[in-house]
Amino acid sequence: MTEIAEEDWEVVKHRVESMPAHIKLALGSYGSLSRDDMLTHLEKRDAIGRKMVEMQIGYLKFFKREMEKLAHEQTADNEA
Amino acid sequence: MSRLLITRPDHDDVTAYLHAWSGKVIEEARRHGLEIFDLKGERANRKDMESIIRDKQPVLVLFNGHGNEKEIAGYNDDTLISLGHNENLLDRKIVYSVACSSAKELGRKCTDSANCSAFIGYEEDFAFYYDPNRLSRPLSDAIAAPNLDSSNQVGISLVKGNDAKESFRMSQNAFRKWIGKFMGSKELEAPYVLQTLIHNMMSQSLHGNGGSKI
Repeated sequence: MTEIAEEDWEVVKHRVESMPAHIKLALGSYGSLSRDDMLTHLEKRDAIGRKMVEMQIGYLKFFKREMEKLAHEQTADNEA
Repeated sequence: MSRLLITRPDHDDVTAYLHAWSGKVIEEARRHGLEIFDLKGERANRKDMESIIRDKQPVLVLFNGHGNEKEIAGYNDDTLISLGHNENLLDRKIVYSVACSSAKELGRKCTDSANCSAFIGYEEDFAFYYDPNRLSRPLSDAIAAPNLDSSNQVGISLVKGNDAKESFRMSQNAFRKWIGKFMGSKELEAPYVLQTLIHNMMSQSLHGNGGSKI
């Protein structure tokens, strides 16, 4: 099991604290989670909490890749 | 006439949403003249599913509901397909499964060894945000719409006669379109919906023969 950095737990916790209270997350077989449910799982750092953090990490990796692609394309355009 | 089997349990919020939204795929299937076996609610059980598959031999099977890496579930999480037990029921079929993580092992192995034609699904949990105030009208829920609309494009494309690879591409394009829209949105829910769109898009996969079609 990959270790999750402390700052990643904190970032996700802050994101969830800012989440509109009226919406819920349907997370596969884990069912429906309210904002409070999500904060509880993050506090416990259990399997559901881990999934939430892993989703956040995936989200950031996606943007990093997209930015790198964009930078590469811009470099290619400049050289052309 | 091509035959479609679709399972639509509705025993909790998640499956109620999948049940409602996959109605759009059924509408498209009707428009294209498919014979439809709609196992909804309590009928999304193993006995009825096995009976339809054996007697009617549908070429296209769409699973809604929960699951895991080795299983696809139906009503009240009754196991419908279980790796190592009855995945051979998917032989010569094109499958789309929203069931969480079912592409990871079940999808991969049944296309490798058990002659399933193609399996489109998700390597991780399928996730979406929704507004519980819309539970009685899931189709009007703008927060759930992006993920469920993107997911629907697989089934919609398949019933139109496109192959599995094209159908996968259509769904990926839909995810990207919604991602683009939500990146520019100032709505409070936008960053959260955006995260699930990216998660689902990256987790969606196609196993087997991409040229498979009904």
